[in-house]
Amino acid sequence: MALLWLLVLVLFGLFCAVYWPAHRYQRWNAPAQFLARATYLHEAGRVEEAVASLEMGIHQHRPPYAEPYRKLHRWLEERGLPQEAADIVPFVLFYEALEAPPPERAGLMARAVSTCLGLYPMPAPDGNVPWYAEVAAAELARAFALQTPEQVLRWPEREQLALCLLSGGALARNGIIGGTGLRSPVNIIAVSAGGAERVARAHILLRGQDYASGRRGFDAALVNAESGQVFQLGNFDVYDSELEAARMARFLREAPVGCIGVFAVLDDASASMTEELEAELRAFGLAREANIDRRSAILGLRYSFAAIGVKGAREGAALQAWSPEAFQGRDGHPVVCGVLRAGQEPEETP
Amino acid sequence: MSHPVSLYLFVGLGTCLATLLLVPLFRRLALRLDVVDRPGDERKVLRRVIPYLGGVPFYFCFLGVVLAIEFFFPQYSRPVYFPLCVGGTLVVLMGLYDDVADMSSFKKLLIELALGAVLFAWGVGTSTIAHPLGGTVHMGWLAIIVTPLWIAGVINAVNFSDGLDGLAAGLVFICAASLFAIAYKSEQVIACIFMAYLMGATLGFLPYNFNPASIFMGDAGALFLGFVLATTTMVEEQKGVAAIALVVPMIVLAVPIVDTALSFGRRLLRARRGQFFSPDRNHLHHRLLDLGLTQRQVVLSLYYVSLCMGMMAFILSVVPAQYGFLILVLAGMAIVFGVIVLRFVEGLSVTRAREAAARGENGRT
Repeated sequence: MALLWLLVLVLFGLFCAVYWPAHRYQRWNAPAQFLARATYLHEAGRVEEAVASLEMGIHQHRPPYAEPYRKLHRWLEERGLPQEAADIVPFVLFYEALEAPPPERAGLMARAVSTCLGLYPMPAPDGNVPWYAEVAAAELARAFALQTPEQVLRWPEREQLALCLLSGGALARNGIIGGTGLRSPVNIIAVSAGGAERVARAHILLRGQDYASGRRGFDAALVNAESGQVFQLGNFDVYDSELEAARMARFLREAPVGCIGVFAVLDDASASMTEELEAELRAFGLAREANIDRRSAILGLRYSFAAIGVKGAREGAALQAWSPEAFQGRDGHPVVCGVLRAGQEPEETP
Repeated sequence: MSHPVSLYLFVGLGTCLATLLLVPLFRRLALRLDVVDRPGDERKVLRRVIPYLGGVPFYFCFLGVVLAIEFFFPQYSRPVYFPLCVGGTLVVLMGLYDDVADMSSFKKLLIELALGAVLFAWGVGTSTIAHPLGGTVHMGWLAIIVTPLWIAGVINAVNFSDGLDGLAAGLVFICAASLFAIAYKSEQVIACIFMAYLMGATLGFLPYNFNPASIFMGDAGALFLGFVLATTTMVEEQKGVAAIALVVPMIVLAVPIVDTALSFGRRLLRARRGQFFSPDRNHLHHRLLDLGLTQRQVVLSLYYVSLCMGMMAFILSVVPAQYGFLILVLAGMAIVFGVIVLRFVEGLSVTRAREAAARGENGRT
């Protein structure tokens, strides 16, 4: 008996002796360990590499907690880049607010919003924008247990929009859809609460209407780039089956070049994602920004994901906002992606 | 996403080959240390001395697979592997103790539940399970209760089914193959790797363990296989969490789980006599043997039922949600029908035995 136990324990000891060094090395090199790696680089005096590693990690993982942003802010200041450091401050405050206990959260979030407005001025609300901002901000307020939605609805529109910008940060305020160069004829806001447990909702808001289906998967709206009319809508349960992914790929393939595609995910739209569908989404300028198990992907399981792209745009040119369901034990959050038609004539109201 | 088929083959074939080579060595060791199963207990169907320790190579191979992933396929390495290795070691130590010195079921259950809770705290577990009719169910805080129960349940299900030559190994092979197919279809690489390991380990063991067996896996092997089966269905960090955790393995493992549940019910009935933790001879395979089937026939019938359940689970994972309900109803009806038929045939054979006994008595008078 003792001999058998000894045999097992010796073998396990040998296993640990071989496994741990290798495991530590691999963990160190895992993309998700960017914060530890960057901290090590910073402590070793390699600040430039540390900043690059941290920026890459934030870009690939969108960590929903304050620590990476806080460090980035500090290290940018150390590098003598005060402007870049200041740009990070609203996001530090935003994630600090999310980490704070609920009674303090609203106050901290208000501070984050006002800092954000100081750095990123919001356009004067026109057309249906106030209503869009209300819908999006109410979703965010509900998800963040910030205040009751009614209280947030009393916020000025610009503050509501600033909250949207902080949550995802893909809000074009000049009417131009990301790097596509196309000026949107209408204001558009897409909201996705992905698979967040408290709220799993999606909205596609344009022309005074919510075009989201309320069903699981990808909601997609194709918009005429000249008239701003929605000419095709679809809901595709890409969680459920690859048949749905194929149907969505066909839907996107048949879309005319130059049209605007608006996408929002409810619950999940990645479990049955195919290469074919990814290629069609990339044809709208969407990029594989997320890093999942050392693999690039447009989105992962139960991610909040909203995007606005243009058919035929180069990859990465679209507006794309996403947040993981959870990252290193912290819950992700809903995201808002939008294009606001700054300085243009108001659109028709319903 | 493409599957690392070469990794699956490497794990499956490597484990199979290693098990084939290691089992004879452990057979010799078991005979030398006198860690053997002897006939005597009425629950046992064996007629000769058979060595234990056939399951220890499973553990060695598992550690080998984890090391190989770490060195050659680090992209599939996960932090939860180390807790699995620690948990597996404890399970094997417990199994070895049980093989040599017999441990009470109560103590084993307590250790398994505690291990499940510790593993949950260590990151092994899921808070989301797939709903068989589509979608997912968030368990929230209930996960800390469900995870240990699931781990202890599957460990015991595999252990209880280890009553006939080749039964536990074959059932685990079928379960692993079914889960591999489901995981492959839903692109869950981690689950596929461990199912390939389980298939390789059990396939390499079956030539020694199928009737007539030359070695038993013992509690060390059965508990470890159950442990791996229970935990590796929960380690997938991405799609697996939502797709195969708990419900699908439950359908695939229907035979041992139903047997365990029935055994639990019987134990509850015996609890008033203070015999809750004492074993009985009423497991499914015992009852089929009592009907006059040979060991091989019983084992092959249970393989067949398990295979059907595995295929059903696979179909359930590919059909649209609205047909899932129909399949579940069919599965439930099949299980109920099976139990009714078994009871009917048992009743018939008892009546015949009584008639034969009565005829014998009449003949004597």
